[in-house]
Amino acid sequence: MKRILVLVFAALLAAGSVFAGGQQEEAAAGNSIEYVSMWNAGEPQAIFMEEMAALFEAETGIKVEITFAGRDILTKIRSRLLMQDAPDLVDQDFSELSGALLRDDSVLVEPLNDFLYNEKGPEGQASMMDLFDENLMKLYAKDGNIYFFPYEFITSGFFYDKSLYAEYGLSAPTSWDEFISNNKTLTDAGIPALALDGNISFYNAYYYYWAVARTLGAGNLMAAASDKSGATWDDPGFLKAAEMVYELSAGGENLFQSGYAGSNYPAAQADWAMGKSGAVLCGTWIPSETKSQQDAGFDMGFFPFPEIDGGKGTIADVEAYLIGFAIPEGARNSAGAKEFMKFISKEAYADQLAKDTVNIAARKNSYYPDLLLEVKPYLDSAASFHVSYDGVMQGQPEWFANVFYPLDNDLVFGNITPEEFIAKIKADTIAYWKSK
Amino acid sequence: MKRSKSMIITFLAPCLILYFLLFLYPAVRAFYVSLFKWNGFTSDMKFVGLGNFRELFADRHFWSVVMANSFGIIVFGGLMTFTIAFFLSGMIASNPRGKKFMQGLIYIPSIINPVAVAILWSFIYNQQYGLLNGFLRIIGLGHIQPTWTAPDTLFWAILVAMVWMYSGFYFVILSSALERVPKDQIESAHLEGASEFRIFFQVKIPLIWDVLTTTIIYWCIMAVKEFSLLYAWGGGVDVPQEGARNLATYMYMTAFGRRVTIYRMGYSTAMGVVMLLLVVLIYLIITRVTKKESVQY
Amino acid sequence: MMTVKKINLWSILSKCFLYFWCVFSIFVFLWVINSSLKTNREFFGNIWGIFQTPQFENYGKVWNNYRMGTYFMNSVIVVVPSVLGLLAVSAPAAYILARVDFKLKKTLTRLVSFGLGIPYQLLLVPLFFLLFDLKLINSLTGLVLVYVALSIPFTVFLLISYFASLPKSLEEAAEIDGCGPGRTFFQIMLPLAGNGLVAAGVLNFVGLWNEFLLALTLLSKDSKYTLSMGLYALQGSLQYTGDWVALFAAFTMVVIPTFILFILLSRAIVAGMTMGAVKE
Repeated sequence: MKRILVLVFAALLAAGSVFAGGQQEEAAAGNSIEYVSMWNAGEPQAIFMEEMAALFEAETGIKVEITFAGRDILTKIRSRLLMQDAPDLVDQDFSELSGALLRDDSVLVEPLNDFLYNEKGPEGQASMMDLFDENLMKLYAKDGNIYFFPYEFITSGFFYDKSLYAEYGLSAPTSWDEFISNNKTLTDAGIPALALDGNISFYNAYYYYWAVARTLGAGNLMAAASDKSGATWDDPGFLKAAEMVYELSAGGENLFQSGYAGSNYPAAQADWAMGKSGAVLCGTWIPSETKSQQDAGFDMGFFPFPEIDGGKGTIADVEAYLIGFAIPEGARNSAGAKEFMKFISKEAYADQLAKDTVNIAARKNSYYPDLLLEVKPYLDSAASFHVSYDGVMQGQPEWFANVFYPLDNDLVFGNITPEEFIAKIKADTIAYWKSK
Repeated sequence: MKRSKSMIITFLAPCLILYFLLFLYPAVRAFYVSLFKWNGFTSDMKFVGLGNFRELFADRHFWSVVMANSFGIIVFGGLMTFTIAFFLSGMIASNPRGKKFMQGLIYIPSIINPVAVAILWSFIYNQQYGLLNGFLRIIGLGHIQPTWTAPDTLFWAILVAMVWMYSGFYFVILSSALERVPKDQIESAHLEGASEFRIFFQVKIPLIWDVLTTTIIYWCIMAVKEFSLLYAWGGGVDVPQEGARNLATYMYMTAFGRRVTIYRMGYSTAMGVVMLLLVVLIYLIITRVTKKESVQY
Repeated sequence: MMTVKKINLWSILSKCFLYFWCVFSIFVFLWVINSSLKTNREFFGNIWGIFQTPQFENYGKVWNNYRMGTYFMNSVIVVVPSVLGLLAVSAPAAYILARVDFKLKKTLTRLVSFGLGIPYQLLLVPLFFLLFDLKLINSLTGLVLVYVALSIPFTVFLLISYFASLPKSLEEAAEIDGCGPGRTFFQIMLPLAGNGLVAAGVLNFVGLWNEFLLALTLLSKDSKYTLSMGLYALQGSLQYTGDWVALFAAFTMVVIPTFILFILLSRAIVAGMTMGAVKE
């Protein structure tokens, strides 16, 4: 009988014991920091971070162990936060970081105020804060505390094919009407004026969010999303914004490439980069993302989402979508993590980040890659900043995914009229809050 | 023969310990969790009673999109899958040339990794570079370039991929059942002048009734649980689109997120409870409905 | 006369459908393999074109740079012990539940049968947090244990039906020969249920090899990803880089082993499947 017992349990334990060894790998001691990254291995930012880690180790002796977890990173690290096995450093865009880690009921990251205000800058500046625009840093503050440390600055607007525009005698529009007439010129010539990968809801959402930012100004979409009575939607500015979006859609002037509703990312943006369409409304990552598809000499221009007559928002109100670090609560080597953050904020490295990844560095006065030069004037003359998607994405994530996305997609694809859109979104918003 | 207690225990223990610890215990705990508001990042759980269920029943999106899709998969997916499986097994039964090869070919999609199936079919449907629209261009229909994966058709597009994937599995089960139908009964029906349709519905189906009901129950349970193909669709760049949201994917995205920071453990688990109830309900209905029939023969 | 005509039409129609179905499958697989050997420019230039010079480096890139090799090994490391462990715990249990009478037999059988109906999505959240407490999150060991536990109901029931079909006289004969109960099981009953073990093993192997939801939930580091997870992650990241041909190569890499397995073991797979459906 004992023999059977031994046999059966041996079989059961065999599976376990074989791998028990594999698990211990994590507990590498010594001075090191663990950084779990939003980038995928092979992306330019991932390559940049690897290089920084090597330089950092050479200079300080602190080893940076990087895991490239991809965009789903916050789902991936939650288990570790719970287990009090937090990595020392994570990164993602600030919307997702604050949606996941700065919640009403719990703050899961270390405040960085002390680091920002009392730590000297890498080139001897009075404080780290001197490297950044303070208003920008405070955008995602909670209860007066700043929790995130940016390295990449992103804003969104229209990127257009300059040579194509020139061919038809067009230039960057300065008003909504000019924008429409420009686009019509292109579509009349058989060229899709706008490119959109319809399967990415947050790309489709750019249009309505920006339109509201122009008709009513920032803060209003968030107010409408949070209004349990739905009454906010009665403001004509929301209808006006819906009309603007509808005008572009297949239900209106049909200015997008054909089949945009079913276009699978990245097909439309790739086509745009190959000179097949006029403009794409996207974040400043688009020059980098389409780099491999661009023909030599592809000339990229930028203009912000145009202002509309009578609208309250202006192009001096700029979107700030920041990507950067956070130090989770309970990180074992938060000092090392801070040192690394400071390290990559050095002027030379901020410039290198911009150059290598074809993006805008978060640090003030950094280098601008050629493809993004046209964005610079708008940022320099910015009077105010607002959060991407007006903060709804992290502030009301469930509403955004379940109420807004479906209706907004319908609007962008021209399946419902602006009036229907407003009526439905009002009704659905009321129903949404009622069920809570 | 005497089998000692200790033998019974040693033989059962490893299996039952694992099963109780990692299956039944979490299943029971799910009912408990479903009564709480909990974001899963802290141990702070707030008791809300049946609040999650109340919210779920009032949640428009849940019913008009999520459950509608789930039922769509069960019913329409089931109809398509079983029709195709029967059709193919009927043909294979007539011993065409290359029977073995074709059997294998029909079955293979059901053992391919569903993530791979999602990738394959998104290439098939791709607007510009897809096989389907490419084919239309070749046969001179280049002017219609349907957007197969637009929101209003996405669900159906995925459903077709799903049917392609699963038909082979049901084909194998049904055709092996049909092969066991006694030849003489079919012969005599033929002699009586019955049409192929009548033979199928009045002779073959009753004879494989038990297998068929088991298979239908299996389909329904599997269809309710269907996750991989829908979730992998589009590659995780964005939240699952409406057409790809069913009970399983919506549950996952509510609890664990995917480019959306909802993180509602209790609410998600309440959906799990609904899923269990749905499975039980389907089981009861099908076994009730089919019981009557099986007495007939 | 009428009926004969009808039958012909029917059979022509269904024959066409059968051929269409098969040709379609062959065609898409060949298309993917062909595309996986192109360059991206070639592919986007003409989706129908045959590759100019085969780009085998697409495969090398996927295997090394995109870590498909690691994912593949992880899958092996998880699935093989899962299946072996599963059989090791399920076979004795199924034997007892099938052939031995004892007080709790009915209750236990019923409890295990619950598992057939409980969708494991129900336990996802509690399981996730339970594995924490056991420090088995993001661990292949944890995944193995979960795979075994969740596959127990199906496997036990499949094996019960095999053991139950063996004649009672066998055990009696063994007893007369002086075999103890343990030896009876290992030397007589187990070999006789060999087909059942193979069927259960193969079916679980295929199921677990393709498993996605649990891997997605329980693994958080890419060094631990299994193939399903790796392919999913790869699909996401390759979209950012627009490297479609690499995705085709990854697809081929994931699918080919399944093809080979099927060719080798198709008989066992089919036997197990029909067994499960008929005997339940």
